Amino acid sequence: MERMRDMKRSIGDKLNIALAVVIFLGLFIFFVVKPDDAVSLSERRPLKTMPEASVETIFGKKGGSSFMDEFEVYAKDQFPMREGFRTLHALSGRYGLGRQEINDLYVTDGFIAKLEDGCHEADMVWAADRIGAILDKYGSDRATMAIIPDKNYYLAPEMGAPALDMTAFEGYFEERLGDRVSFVDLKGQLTKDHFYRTDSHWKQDMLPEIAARLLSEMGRPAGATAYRCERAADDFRGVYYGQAALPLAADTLNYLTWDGMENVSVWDHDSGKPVAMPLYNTDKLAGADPYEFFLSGSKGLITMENPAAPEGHLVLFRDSFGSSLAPLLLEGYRQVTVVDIRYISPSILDRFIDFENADVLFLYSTSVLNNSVGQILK
Amino acid sequence: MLFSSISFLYVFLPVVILLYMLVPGRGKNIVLLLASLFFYAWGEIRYLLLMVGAIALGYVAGLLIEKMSGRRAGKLVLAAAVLLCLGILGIFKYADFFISSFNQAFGGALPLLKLALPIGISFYMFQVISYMADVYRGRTEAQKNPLTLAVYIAMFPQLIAGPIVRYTDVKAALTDRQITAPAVSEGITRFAIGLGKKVLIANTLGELCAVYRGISEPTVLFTWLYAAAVTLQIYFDFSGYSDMAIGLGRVLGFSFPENFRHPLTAGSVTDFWRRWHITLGSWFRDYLYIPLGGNRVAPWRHILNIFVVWMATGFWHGAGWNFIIWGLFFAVLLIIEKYGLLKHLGKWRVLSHFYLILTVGISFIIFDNDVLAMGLARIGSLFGAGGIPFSSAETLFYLKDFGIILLIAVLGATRLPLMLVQKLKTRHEGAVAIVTPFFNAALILLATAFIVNGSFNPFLYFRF
Repeated sequence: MERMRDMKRSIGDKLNIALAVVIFLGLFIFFVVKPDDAVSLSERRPLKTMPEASVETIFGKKGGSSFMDEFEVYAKDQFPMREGFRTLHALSGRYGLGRQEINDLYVTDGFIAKLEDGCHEADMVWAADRIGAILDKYGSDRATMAIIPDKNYYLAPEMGAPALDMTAFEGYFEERLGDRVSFVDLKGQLTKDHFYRTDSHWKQDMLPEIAARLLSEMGRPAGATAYRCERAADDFRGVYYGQAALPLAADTLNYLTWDGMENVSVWDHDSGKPVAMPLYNTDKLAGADPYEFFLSGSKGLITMENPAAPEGHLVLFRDSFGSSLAPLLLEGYRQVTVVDIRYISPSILDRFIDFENADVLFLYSTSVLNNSVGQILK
Repeated sequence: MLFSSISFLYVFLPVVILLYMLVPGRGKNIVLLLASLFFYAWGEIRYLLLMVGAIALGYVAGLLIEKMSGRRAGKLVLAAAVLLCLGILGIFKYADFFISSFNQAFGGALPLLKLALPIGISFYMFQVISYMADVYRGRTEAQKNPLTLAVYIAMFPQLIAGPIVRYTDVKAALTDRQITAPAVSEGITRFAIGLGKKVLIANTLGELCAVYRGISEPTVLFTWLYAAAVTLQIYFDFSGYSDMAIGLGRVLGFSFPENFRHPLTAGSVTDFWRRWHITLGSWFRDYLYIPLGGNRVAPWRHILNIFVVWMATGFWHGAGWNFIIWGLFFAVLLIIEKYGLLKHLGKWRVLSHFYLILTVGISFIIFDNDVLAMGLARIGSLFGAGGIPFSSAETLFYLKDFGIILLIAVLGATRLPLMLVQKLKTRHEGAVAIVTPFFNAALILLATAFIVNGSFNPFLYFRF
């Protein structure tokens, strides 16, 4: 009996050492031989490459960090099976430790949402200042503004999670800009079902009523177009899917078409010259972010013309949420100019846009307005 | 280089252990010293000379003290060497604290030195001091081989966070140590448990503390959650590091002293400090409290000794008033216990434990807040000061979010896991021996997943 116990102890000791060697040495060798990955698709960012080893970086702090600091960042970014380890972290956190959120993302009713940490006063001031500066420069007296609540606003009550105080948030912008801009309150019209389950954005096929509301608030004809819902992809895994690193069901990415859509022309002005582009870019469906299907994603300046629409020009200042909504505004305007001031400076817009007799719509999500300083709005 | 970093776990450690195991006999000390110096240099290469200087100081002073043993000159050498150690510690760790305190008190504008704190300086300087003092007291002879002494002072497992290993603890193993499969296996288990404590529990509790520090409207309940989280975080962080150090020591053939023995199960502050950071407590006892006269002096002097020792203990933890007050807070409690309360505490176990948890929790709020006013405000929030609400939806969300990890941490801080393992070992020792390696592997891989997730950094422009 005692011999048997000793034998098991001995086997246990050897097994313990063998497993430790397999893990530490095995992953070390894997780490050394594995070619570096260029990007993390789930986080939509380039991964750190091997830092430069020089006297300056080893003995000093080039740019505030040393070779050793950078190496740890590199090692984490390029660690073998990194996405698998991230999934292990998410699963063990959620099901093992009972965490309600992992990396500030939570799942409820099949939706992934991101926690909001309250109003960022400096960002709100910055965003209101930028919008005010545009109004000052281009002097529009026909401006409208609508703020798109984050998906968290609709899901937080189910989770008991903290959410942005939308009344206070909107109230700030109304107080700052209310005498120059008409506000449209969208929060009561939207629901969680207007949003993708795995992405932060809203679904275009749920937006005709929102578009009609905005158009009618701006005094334009609306609600008469018969949209058809088409399927672009049934395995759309949005930005939160990769970040959450949890095995969840994919979304369906639908889009809307209508009779006469083929006559709409769309022009991309980012290169300085107008280049024709599609309203819906199917090439983007295979890319890192399939939501770029709508108006090809990040663009500073786009113009759209719908010959079937009544005379009129709308300048839409927007973030990515505007990409899916903008096509639906063509019902009310012959010309829609779509501007993203994260990619084009507002100070040069008059070179490309005639603001004379144009309606102006500022359509921004809370997540952009509430994180605007220095990085979102130029 | 932190033990809980990819650089350490998956680059430094496998390479060093492999070399260490391959090199025979005395070559192991050379590998260990070079690895330790590399480990130190990785953290702050500019201070490598400081480490080498500390080793040289300990070596030369040790030889001189031994040579002048029993003579006044020996005492002078010891005093000079200790002052030099404390002076170096003072310059690198405390100079800016003294300058800014002076500036605040007298409206001065003396410029700060802004020196980066050399990693582990508080630990290795204390080891050098204890070595020289032990040589002076004749507890050990001076080490003649500088390489051996360098291995003792610089040894990477205990270099940055203890335990404070005394030369006499490892003297024999420095020149003659056995590396056996059971010891290595025991070391791996201890290391895996320490890694799990640090990465899975302490770091997760750290997230809760960070959330609390960021909220604009605290509640009474959230402040209690924070007090529990910060206490448990510090315990699991520090004891996890000690476990990893002890485990690495076992793998390398050393036996380091225990540093924590379930301190949060203590029934008094006196008992708590016999179980918390044991090697530091015993260091101050042997090298400061007893030389000051300990308790074999008049009561007023005894009280003064306690204040001096605990002010030093607090100050050792960091250069800030919060650390000094933290130490003095314990001094007051220890004096109250020694002069009466301790006799009564033993009679009421539940009440005693409640008293201990409350006082330790409050002490760690002081510890955690370098702005004293903030610490006091948070202590006030525990009791609803300022009319703050008892709870809120946000509080309940985070209670749910961190509830299980808090429960795991509370249970993990008791003797329960140890008792459970011992019971299992008694009944199914063979099965435990076979299951333990898989448990360790799972812990290491889970901890790795948590560390890798630390690189989670979504691109802010993801919304284009």
